[in-house]
Amino acid sequence: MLKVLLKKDFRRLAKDPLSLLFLLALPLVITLIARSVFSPSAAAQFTVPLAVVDQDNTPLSEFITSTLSNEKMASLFEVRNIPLKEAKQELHDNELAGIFVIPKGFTDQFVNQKPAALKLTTNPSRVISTGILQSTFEILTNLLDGIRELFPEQIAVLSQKNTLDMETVFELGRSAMDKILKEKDLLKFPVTFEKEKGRKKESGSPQNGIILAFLPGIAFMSILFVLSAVFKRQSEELENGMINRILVSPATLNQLLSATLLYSLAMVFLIQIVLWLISIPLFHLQIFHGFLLLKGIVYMSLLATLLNAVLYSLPMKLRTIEAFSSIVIITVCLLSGLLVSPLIMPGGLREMVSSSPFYAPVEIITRAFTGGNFPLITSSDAIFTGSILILLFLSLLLFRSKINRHRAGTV
Amino acid sequence: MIEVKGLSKRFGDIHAVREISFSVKEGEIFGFLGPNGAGKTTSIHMMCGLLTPDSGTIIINGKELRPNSTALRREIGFVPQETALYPELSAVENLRFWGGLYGLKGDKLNQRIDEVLHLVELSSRAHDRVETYSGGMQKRVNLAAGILHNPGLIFMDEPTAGVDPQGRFAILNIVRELAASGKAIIYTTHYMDEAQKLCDRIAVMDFGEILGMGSFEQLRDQVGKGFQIFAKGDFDGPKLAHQLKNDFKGEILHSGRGLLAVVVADAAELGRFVAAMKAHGVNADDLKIKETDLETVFLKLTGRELRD
Repeated sequence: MLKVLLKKDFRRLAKDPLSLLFLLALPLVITLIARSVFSPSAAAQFTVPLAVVDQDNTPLSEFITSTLSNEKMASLFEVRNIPLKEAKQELHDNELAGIFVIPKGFTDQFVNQKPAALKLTTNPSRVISTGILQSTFEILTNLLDGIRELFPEQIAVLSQKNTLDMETVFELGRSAMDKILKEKDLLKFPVTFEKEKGRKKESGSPQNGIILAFLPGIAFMSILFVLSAVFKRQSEELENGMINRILVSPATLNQLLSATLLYSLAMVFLIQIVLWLISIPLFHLQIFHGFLLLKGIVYMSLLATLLNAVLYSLPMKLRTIEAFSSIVIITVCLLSGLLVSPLIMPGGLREMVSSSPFYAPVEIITRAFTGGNFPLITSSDAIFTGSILILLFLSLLLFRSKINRHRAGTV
Repeated sequence: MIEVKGLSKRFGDIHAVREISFSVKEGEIFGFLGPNGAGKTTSIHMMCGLLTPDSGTIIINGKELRPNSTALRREIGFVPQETALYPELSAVENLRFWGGLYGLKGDKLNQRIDEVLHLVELSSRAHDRVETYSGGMQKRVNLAAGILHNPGLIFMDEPTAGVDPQGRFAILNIVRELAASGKAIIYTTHYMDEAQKLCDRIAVMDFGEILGMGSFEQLRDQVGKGFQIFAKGDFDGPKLAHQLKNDFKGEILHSGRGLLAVVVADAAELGRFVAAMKAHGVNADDLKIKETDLETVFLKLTGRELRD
C-alpha cells in the first residue's frame, strides 16, 4: 500500500518538475538578495586570523608586525604572535587564515639592498581571507621596497636604533607610496615574499568565506518550503475529497500519513543532496565533519516537519493557514539567523536567536564546514531530538484528528 | 447486497441521520433524494466506512461493516461528489493508482483500465492529462475510478452535479449499464427527474430521516395521479386553504404566507380550483400547474420545495 501511495506522489512530482525547480530556486534567490542587502554589515564582522612570527627581532621587523596590529588594521586582522610550530598546527586545524614569517636576517638583507624575502603561508580553504592577505602583503612589500629605494640612508640609521620612531617611519612610508604610484620605474629592487599553501587536512578542509554564513540558511529555507508544499498538498486533498476517496479503499489513515512522511523525508533528502552537490564544488567547500552536516539536516527536517504539522493541523481553512504559514516561515528564518546573522543583532535579540532551537541546526551545519574539535554528539542531542520527536508525534496526531474531523464535518 | 438497520449519526446537537433502515439488492439502483444537509452524504459515508455510526448496523454481502473491515471495502466502489482525481496525471495514471490501492496489478489492472475507459468512452483520451478534460469527461473518469476494481456495491454521491445535459445523459447510461450487469447502486441526487427516471427505488430524505421510500409509482400513489397546483401571491395561505376546502376535491399539500400547494385528481377539479382561486382574488398568473411527479411527492413529504 505504501508503495502504491509513494509511487503516485513521485509520479505527480515527475509530471510537475517546474514546481520542484521553483522550490529549489526560491530560497536561493531570497537568501542571495537578503545577503546582498545585509552583506556590508556582515563584512564589518569579518576578520582574518593571522599568526605573525618574528624570527628577525629587529626594530624594522617590530615595525612591520606593529603595523599589522595597529588600530586601523585591527578591524581586518586578528593578529596572534605565536611560535611557528604552534602557528602551523593552527593553520592545519583551519583556525588561521595565514602565517606571516619575518625570517632571521631579513633586516640585514633589506638594509644592504640585497634581495629580501618575507614568507606568507596561506590557508587554501579560506579563499577570501587568502585574497585579503595576499593583497595586503603586496601593498606592504611595495611600501617597504619604496622606502628602501628612496630613503636608504634613513633606513640604515633607523635600523641601527634600538627603538623606532613610528611617526617618522609612517611619514616615510606615505611619501614612498606617493612616489611609487607616480613613478613605477623606481621599483628596481623589489622585496620578494614567498607564498606557501597550507596543508589540507585529509578529511577535507572548509572554505569559511561569507558563503557559509548563508548556505545552512538556504538549506533550512528549502526544507521549510518543501515540507510546507507537501503539507499544503495534503490539506488540499483533504478539502477536495481525495483523502476520503482513498480512505474508502483498503488503505488506512495511518498508511496514508506514513506515506506522506516518507515522501516528505525523501523530498527533503533529495533537495539537500542537490543543494549540497551543487554548492560544495561551486563554492569550493570542503566538509570537515560529514556527520554534523547530516545531523544538521536531520534536525532541520524534524523542526520543519514539526512546524508544518502543527500549522496544517490548525482548525482553519487552507487559505488562512497559508497566509499564517508565510508569517511563521519568515519568523523562523529570522530565528534561524538566516536573514540576518545573530552577530549583528542587538543584544537581547541576539541572545534570543542564538538560543532558539531553529538556530541550532544552522550552527551545527556551519560547524560541519569548520575545522576544530567539535563534539559530534552532545548530551543535549538526546533531549533536543527526543522533545522534537514527541512534539512531532503529537502534532501528527493533531493532523490525523483534523482529517477525522473533516470526515465527520462533511454532512 | 446491503442491508442497513437503524443507522444514526449525531454531530454535537445536530442529528444528521436518524434511524434509517433499508436494503438494496443486486442490479438495483436505489436513490437517495433530498436537499443539501438532508443527511444523504453522511449516510453514504457511514455505508462506505468513512464514518462510524453512533448506532445501527450495515451488512454487506452478509458481513457487518466495521471500522477495520479492510477486506469488505474491496466490495465497495465509491464515486464522490467532488472530482477526486490528480489533474496532472493522465486518466490511465489515475486509474493505475486507484487500482493499486485495491490490489490490482499487472495485466489484470491493464485489462480493467481498458474496460472501464471503454465503458466511459474515454479510450481515445486515455493518456492525456485529466486537467485537459472537460468537466463532463472528468466526472466520467471519476466514475471509472470508482468501479475499476469491479465492486458489487457502488455508492455514487451526486455524480452528475455540475455536468452539462449531454454529460449527464452519458453518465446515466453508464449507471444503467452497471446495474444491468448486476451491480447494486446507491445513488444520491437532488435532481428530481434524474431520480425519477433512473432509480428503481427512491428514499426521500430530509433532516436525517427517510420520509418515504419505494418506486416512483409507489411514491406517487401517496399523492395520486393528477395535477399539482402551486399558487404564490399576496394572501394568507392557511386561511385561503380553509376557505377553499369545500370548493374543490383535492389535497392541500402545503400552505404558508403567500403560498398554497394542492393536488387535484383530474382536469375538471383543476378547473374548479382555478375558478375558486379567482373568486378569492388570486390571478391565474400566480399559478403553476403540472402533472404530479416526484417533486409533488417531495413537497407532500417534506412540506417544502427542493431548491438545490
